Amino acid sequence: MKGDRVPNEDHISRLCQPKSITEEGEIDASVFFLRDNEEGLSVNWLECLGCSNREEEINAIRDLYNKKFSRVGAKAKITVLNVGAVHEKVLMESLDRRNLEFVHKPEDSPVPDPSHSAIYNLRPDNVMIAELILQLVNETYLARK
Amino acid sequence: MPEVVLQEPNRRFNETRKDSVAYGDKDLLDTFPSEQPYHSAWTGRIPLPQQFPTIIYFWGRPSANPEGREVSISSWPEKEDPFTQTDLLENEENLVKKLILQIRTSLSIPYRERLINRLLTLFNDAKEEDSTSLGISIGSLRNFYNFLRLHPNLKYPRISLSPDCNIYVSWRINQNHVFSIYFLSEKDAVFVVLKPNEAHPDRQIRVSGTITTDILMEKVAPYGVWDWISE
Repeated sequence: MKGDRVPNEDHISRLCQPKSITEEGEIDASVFFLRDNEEGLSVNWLECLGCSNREEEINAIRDLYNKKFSRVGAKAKITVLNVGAVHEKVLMESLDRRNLEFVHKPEDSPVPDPSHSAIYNLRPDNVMIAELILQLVNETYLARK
Repeated sequence: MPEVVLQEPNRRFNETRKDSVAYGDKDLLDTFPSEQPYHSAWTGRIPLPQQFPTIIYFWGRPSANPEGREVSISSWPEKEDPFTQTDLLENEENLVKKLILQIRTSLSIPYRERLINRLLTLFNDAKEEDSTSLGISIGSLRNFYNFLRLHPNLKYPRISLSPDCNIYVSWRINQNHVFSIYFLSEKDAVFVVLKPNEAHPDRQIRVSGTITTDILMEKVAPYGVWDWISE
């Protein structure tokens, strides 16, 4: 339901466009930066999709991203993170003990995105927090099939 | 473990777009000798777009991974009216590309060709994602270039772009030693240092702050970053 907290044991995905991918094909911390006008970092709540395994979840997310975004680059990737791990690491290791919030924010338009969620309590200049989250990235997939 | 905060981050992001459209009358940074080719472009004293003798456009997008390859360019006839929104965007894009290509004249940057190719790839990636973006923020690009000119002995960094198309660079050894810089417009940058605490192996030293790029390396030197970022 809209406004629900995403449980710590669940997982979120984030689209990493090519401009945030390094020459070696790795995801860079810049993918976790907010835009100037963003309040929350857009992610998708994987368990909300109701799939039976990760492969199905990723395929559903690929389909969604290809409908939702005008262009998903050939080098674009999807990274998957555990909510509790991100929350704990940022809380314990960020300079100001930042308490991130993971909130379900389903969208109806322009493309229905019922698993859409957002990470709040970030700021556009949160380079340290982005680097901390990057340390937890160990599950990535190509964003195109 | 208590962490050191050199300077609290501030919010200067609104300046990014403002500077990117402020042609001609702003002196963003002036740290280089006047005999440097294209000096004015890097210091913000930029001629009006309609004064460019030639506008360079890229024919198509380089293939998926163009690093290490030559990127072909071709001339394109200049538009008559520079005052529509579309033309203003095109003029700014051309300025970004012009600045990138001018890195070729900077002999003090040993990896300038690789750097040019990487920046052009990022520019094209950003434009492909959003055709209305500038590709790379002009202020951030200028800031990054001026920083490299100040420190010619730096290793080639890994480079990416933020969602707002500012430049983000890192030098890292795994996740144990990280020095990253987020180049904002004008002279400011946000930096992060992560390194092991040698006195307490189970702990990590974490430092972050916002600072002008001219004194950045002086301020982070006590944390030993030169050990893993310089040739």
